[in-house]
Amino acid sequence: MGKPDVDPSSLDFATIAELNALLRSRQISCKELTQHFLDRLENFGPHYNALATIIDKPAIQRAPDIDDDLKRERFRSPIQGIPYAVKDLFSTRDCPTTWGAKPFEKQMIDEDAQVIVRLRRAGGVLIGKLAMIELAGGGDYSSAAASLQGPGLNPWNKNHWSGGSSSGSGIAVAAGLVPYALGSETSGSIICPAAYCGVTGLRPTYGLVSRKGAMPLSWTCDKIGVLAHTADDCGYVLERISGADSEDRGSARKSFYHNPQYARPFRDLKVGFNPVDFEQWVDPPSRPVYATALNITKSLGAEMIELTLPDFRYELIISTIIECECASIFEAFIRSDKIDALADPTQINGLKAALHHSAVDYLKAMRVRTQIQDAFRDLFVRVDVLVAPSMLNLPEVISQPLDEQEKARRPHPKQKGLAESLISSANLCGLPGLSVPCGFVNGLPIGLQFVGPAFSESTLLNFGREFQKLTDFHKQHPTVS
Amino acid sequence: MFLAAGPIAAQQGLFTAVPEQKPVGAASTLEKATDQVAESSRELRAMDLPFNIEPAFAFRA
Repeated sequence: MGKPDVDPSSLDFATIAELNALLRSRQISCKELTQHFLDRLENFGPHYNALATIIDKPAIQRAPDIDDDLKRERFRSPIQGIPYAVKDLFSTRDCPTTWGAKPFEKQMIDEDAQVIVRLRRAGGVLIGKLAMIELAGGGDYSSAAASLQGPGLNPWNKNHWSGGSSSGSGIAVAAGLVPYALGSETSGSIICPAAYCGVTGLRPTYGLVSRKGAMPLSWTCDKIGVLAHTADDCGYVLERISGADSEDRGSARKSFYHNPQYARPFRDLKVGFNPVDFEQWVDPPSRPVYATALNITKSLGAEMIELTLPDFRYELIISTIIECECASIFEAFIRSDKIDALADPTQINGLKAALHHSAVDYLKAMRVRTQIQDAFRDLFVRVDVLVAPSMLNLPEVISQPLDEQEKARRPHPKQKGLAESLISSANLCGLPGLSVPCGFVNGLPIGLQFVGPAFSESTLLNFGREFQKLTDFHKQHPTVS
Repeated sequence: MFLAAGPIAAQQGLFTAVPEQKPVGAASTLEKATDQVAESSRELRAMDLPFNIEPAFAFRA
């Protein structure tokens, strides 16, 4: 095969739609595209501690079949022939699945995760597995280095953290090492790295995407999602990975179809927000940027309604549920000596301590969760979407413990808004969320999140799409070296 | 306790800000984590709930 007809550097940050057009018009082949991103992921991934495993031979072997399909105009999906990578929490038959943790670094699982099977059917080309916080941070962690590959380095400034636990997924997309990546979220693990790395991250509704073959952390909170350059890209991927799976007991048995043309018009929608999030809760240097982002959101034409979240102890409830479920899932591991090989002592001790929770604690938390879900059902009668800063702070520096940096940001404002607890509350209710890049502060990206009721992904993606039509933050990219 | 950077980045000199190890014993951090669980339990006990609120089992979004 000869040289591609396109400038290779123009491929680095191309969207799925752009790459799909190049493949269909045969300006580039799947083999060339795969080799291009394999080179980038292999060369630059380690510079950011983002790469767990490169999957080169199977990817290169698969490419000619896809090229043959494209040549015969057997178009399967917009992601056909486009390389991608996954958080190393998804099992892959022929290479290790480490869960980001030293004790599991040689773990082999003899099946591909359901999402990988589905993407293969759609013509996706898996080229690598990406770094993550060990065990997705189930026991809590105080260090960005709580990962088999070391701290995820932010592509915009390597002195700052990439966010986690889907660290490598955020980095790889932001640095143009893959066009999109899969991540997972139990409470914040997609929204956080998406915001910190300046990419678009979609956390789907609980049960919309099969978790078969993904490391369980919390049966009732785990969700699988997408990190990509644009809201539309997230929609294309979600369409292919969503759908019923009888082997996932949490499956909602629903599918998602990415049809932007059928999105509800903004004039029919009500958006809940609270000015205190944008004016007081976020770090002071971010406030002018967030003010602009909020104005852009307002300009979309939806009715804006000020509100606060129902009054619950969200962090207490979600941490109790995650700790209890995680302790049960990893009980044998926690009781073994292997746990001491984890990187972060906070994680080790958090997991050990989680065994002391009682069944009554867990049930109490799950009963309060019922009340929270009921309260959110009422809230989404008043509004269709909530909007708030994705994260209250800029990406932490990696040279200091994360928990100490959090403590240094206190005291928090007295007036309640949405953002402080939107990630934990939305995850308790299994709600979808979308984070889009909305500006830069001190050279670091910040994100804006949209959250809606269950199965409102189309509405959220529409907000993301229109926001990205009016801004170019998602088109700005770091210098990769 | 803060941890050293990843091996690849360290080898390449890409992550030089290796934080100093703090003299915090594993036992004391385990004690702290266990205390936190006990505190969470106390806080949960302090919450009054109507008897007819069922847990969010068979969880659905």
